[in-house]
Amino acid sequence: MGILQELRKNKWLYAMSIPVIVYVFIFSYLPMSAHILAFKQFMPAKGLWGSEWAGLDNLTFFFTGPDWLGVTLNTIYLNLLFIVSGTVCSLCIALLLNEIHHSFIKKVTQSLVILPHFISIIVVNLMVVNFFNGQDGMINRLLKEFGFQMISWFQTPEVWPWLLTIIFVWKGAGWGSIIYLATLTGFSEEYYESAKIDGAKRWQQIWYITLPLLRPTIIVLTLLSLGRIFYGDFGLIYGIIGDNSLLFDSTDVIDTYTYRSLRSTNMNSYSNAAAVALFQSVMGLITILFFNWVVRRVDNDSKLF
Amino acid sequence: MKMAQRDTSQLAVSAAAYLCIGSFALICFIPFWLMYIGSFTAESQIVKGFRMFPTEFTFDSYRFLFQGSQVYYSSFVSIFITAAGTVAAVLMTSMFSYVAAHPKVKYRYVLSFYIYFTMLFPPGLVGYYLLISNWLNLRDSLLALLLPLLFSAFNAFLMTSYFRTLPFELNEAATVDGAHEMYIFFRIIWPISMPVIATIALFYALSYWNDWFNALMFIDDPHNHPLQMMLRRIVSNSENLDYLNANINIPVSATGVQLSTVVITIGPIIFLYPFLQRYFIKGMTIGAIKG
Amino acid sequence: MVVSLILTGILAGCSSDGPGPSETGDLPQASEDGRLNPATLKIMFPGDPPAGWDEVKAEMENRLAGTLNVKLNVVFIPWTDVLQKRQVSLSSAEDYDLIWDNNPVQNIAAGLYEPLDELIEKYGADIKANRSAELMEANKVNGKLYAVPLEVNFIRPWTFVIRKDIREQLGVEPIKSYDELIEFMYLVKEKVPEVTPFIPNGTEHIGLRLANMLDPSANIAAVLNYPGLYTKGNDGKVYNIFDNMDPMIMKNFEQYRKLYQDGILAKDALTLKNAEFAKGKAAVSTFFDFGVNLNTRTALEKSVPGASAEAFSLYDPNMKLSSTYKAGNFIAVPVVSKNKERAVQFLNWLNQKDNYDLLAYGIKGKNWEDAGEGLYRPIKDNPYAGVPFAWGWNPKLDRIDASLPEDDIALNKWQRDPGNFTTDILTGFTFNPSPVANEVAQLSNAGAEFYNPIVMGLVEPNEGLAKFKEKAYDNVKKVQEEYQKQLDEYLAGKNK
Repeated sequence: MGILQELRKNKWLYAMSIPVIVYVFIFSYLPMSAHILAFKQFMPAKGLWGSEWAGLDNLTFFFTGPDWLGVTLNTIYLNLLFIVSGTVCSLCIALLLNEIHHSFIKKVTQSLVILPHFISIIVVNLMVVNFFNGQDGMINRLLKEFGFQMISWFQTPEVWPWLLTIIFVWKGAGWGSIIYLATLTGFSEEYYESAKIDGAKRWQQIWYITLPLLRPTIIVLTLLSLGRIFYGDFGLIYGIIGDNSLLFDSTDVIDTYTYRSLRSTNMNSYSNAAAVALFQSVMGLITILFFNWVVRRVDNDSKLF
Repeated sequence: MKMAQRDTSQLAVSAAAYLCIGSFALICFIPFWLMYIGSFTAESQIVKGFRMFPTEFTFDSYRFLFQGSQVYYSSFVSIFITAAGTVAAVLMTSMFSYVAAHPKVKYRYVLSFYIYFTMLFPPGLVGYYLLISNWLNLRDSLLALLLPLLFSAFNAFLMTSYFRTLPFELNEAATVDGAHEMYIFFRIIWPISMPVIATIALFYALSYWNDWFNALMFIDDPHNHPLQMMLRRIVSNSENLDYLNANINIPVSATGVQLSTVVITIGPIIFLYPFLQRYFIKGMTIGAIKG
Repeated sequence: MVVSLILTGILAGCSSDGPGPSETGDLPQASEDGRLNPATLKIMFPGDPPAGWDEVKAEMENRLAGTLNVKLNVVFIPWTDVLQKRQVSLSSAEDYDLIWDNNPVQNIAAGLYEPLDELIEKYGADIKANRSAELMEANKVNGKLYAVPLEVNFIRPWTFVIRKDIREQLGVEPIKSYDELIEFMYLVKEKVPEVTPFIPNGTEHIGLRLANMLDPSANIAAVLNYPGLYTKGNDGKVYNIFDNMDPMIMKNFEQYRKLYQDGILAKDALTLKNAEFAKGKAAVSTFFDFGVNLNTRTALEKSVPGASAEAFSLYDPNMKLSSTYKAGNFIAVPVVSKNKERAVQFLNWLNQKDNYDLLAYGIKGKNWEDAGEGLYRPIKDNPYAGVPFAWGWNPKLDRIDASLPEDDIALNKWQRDPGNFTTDILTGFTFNPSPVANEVAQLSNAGAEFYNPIVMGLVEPNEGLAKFKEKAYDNVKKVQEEYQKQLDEYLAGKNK
């Protein structure tokens, strides 16, 4: 079937998608032209097109440094921790909330678990310092009270990937569960009725009915996050770690590294930043194409595109 | 026997659910409670650390906040962009996602990729700033707050994945009856998709409500600053309470005003969720609609 | 995404109204009858509008109405965002007429600022009159003045601020020497455990800063913000801490290490933000003014009722120091401005005594009162903390807060007179980092990772330096060589 024929046949359907197509073209594709910055020696006065070509020079600072591999691996490692624990926790919360039948308690708890999502990172940072600070932080005071050794949290890099993950989960898991919960409530009772008649226990119903039904949603959300696996969560990581270099070993990600490298130089930094972002995007594209291909073989209906 | 067995397993799962969710909810609630209490506490007390219960109770920071004119301007802006933006965004997104999920649409995966690509290659502020400020000339206009958030690829994918699970045979039948595609969408698909539509509406509403970045970039006039921008202004510099245009004769604590601002910026939006929860209704079987 | 958010660049060229040549676009100045046409100047300032700003602005416009016929559209951008916002606005050719800049070199190189020499010649008599020739000359780039230097001080002192109330409570005499200060810190640890004895104000090369604080005449200074490089003794040479470690600097590193181990220096100094002293959390901190400034004083009193602060410095008005006369703040006219002449006329207007007083201290009698030649006294209930540093600062018209102790006033007066200083060899030199941009980027990263912990005493200095050297020696060396090369060329050219 030719394109025109297809368009004519489903013209009303395509017409419904036009607002978004136009919008995305204007607000995403037009400004995307700025990515050309990555290959330019950008001089604002000469403008984007007038600036000289720089080829891949803008990435030199990143790849000739001793740390690029380390920060790239940190980025992937932290993101994997975030994705896995975030997904598991959000799922658990959604499944558990679904088991709460008392409608008032359900409403209240549902609202409470999303609260942390609204707390801005500045405030989170203040709380983290209050909790973990080496001298009179709450955690250390507790440790001391129970006769344990106090820990200099801000000088112990090994614990921070996990602490960041905990903060990430605390902040986002409840919010993330909304999606699953909304999907869950759409499932027909019929599925469960027949299982009950067969004597399936409640957890068996969850395992054999609910989870498989949620699978497409889980896959789509995971795919979407995998595409951004080379992008560190700058807001969270910089907001909490900041410039505490003792923790860089385990927490420095591409975004924070680039930010630090460039903020003090302000030399051509737009181009450098754009080049690193392009590197992250291209790697993300490769990752997502691969996983989308995998998904297509395993579960064709859940593929992204 | 069978019945009894089912009941125990149900009971065990419920007990676990109440316990786990209860404790997690508590962990989520405590920091918020500390801030809430802090907003009623005098500065001299706050400096000594947050507490679970106030030692000296005062409304001063709220009085200060609401005596200024800024909070009213900002609330109006926030409410306006959140309401208008969410309605428009949900309409656009749901129509698009429906098309991208519809098995009759041959190029539905092309459409998906067209959207997905923008997630991988975000425009970056560079081009974005030029677009809003120079090409569209929206500087200092409320449109600069509305338009940029009108569509989120992430939300579109969530909806698409939901719509894909719908049994499309049922609108097959409707089409034969000569029903218009638009009619099918709004009369048949929309009602059975309320959970996902409510979710997406919530997501859009929150992204509008929480946005300060567009205001920072494009809005210089404080009268057009949303609440989050107001919060950012007074958090970034605690000496800047003057921004609120309040009567400065009440001696208030900077921290107290910051915390009370946090409270009023979180307040309205958390009430939106319980309101939308009514759409998360169980047992809306598709079969019933078919009949 | 974040990276692009933060560094954000902007292309002007593909927009039709990109920065054009400066000849175009100036609106006609006057109408037929010779009166100036009304104009609105759009001005960008850092920070937040000071309390009482609306009133001051109204008064300014009131005064301007009869003469320059200028209305003001002043946009304040909070400190956290101002650098980003400025770059975005400049590069997208937004219609600003005046912009505050703290480091205009890059923007000048990028051709974003209008050269002002001719306009100042024509309209800027007061701008020139208030600034010494040294100040004007030293801040030119390639022989042209692109931005009006705003500065009142000719050296960059760092001083210690001390909680006076704690000192008195412990019965300690006013601090006279560095040793006494250290003693005081130990006493605080012992007697006032809820206060951290010492939280320095940021890590910015405090090792070097401190070396210079302790012995101002050694003239040790960090080279821009490049970790590991320093100049000393006004000899026109750049040193690095690996090959030529100055004993004074090393001694400070070791001392900080000891302070850290003894629990004097804040444990989490790298995580703490600057404002700890004002919050009452520290007994001693560092600052960049002589005397404790008004903001810190008010904030401290608010957080801890009854607290007071005093300053201690090792500077002495009899010292013979050199100055580069480099300004810390500038105000520039973007090339895209359509009101360049009026902008400079307005700047000149700000440099007239009555107008300067209004801009800096607010309404006379309400916000402040005259306290004699070169002094003012803020009125306690209604002080106005203006932002003169961003648009008019100059040593002639600026007044010193008369509520400071006499010693501090004397020090302030001393540092404001260019005649008290000899010309530093670096005067007028501007380093162009582009040939070593990659090295600078890598170095600044290594510095944050390895140098700051040494400075703050978190690691044993010799071990720390060895690690830093391993990572950064090549980059330090390359930046040092490039800097030295450019400096030598500059000095050779000057001597010709």
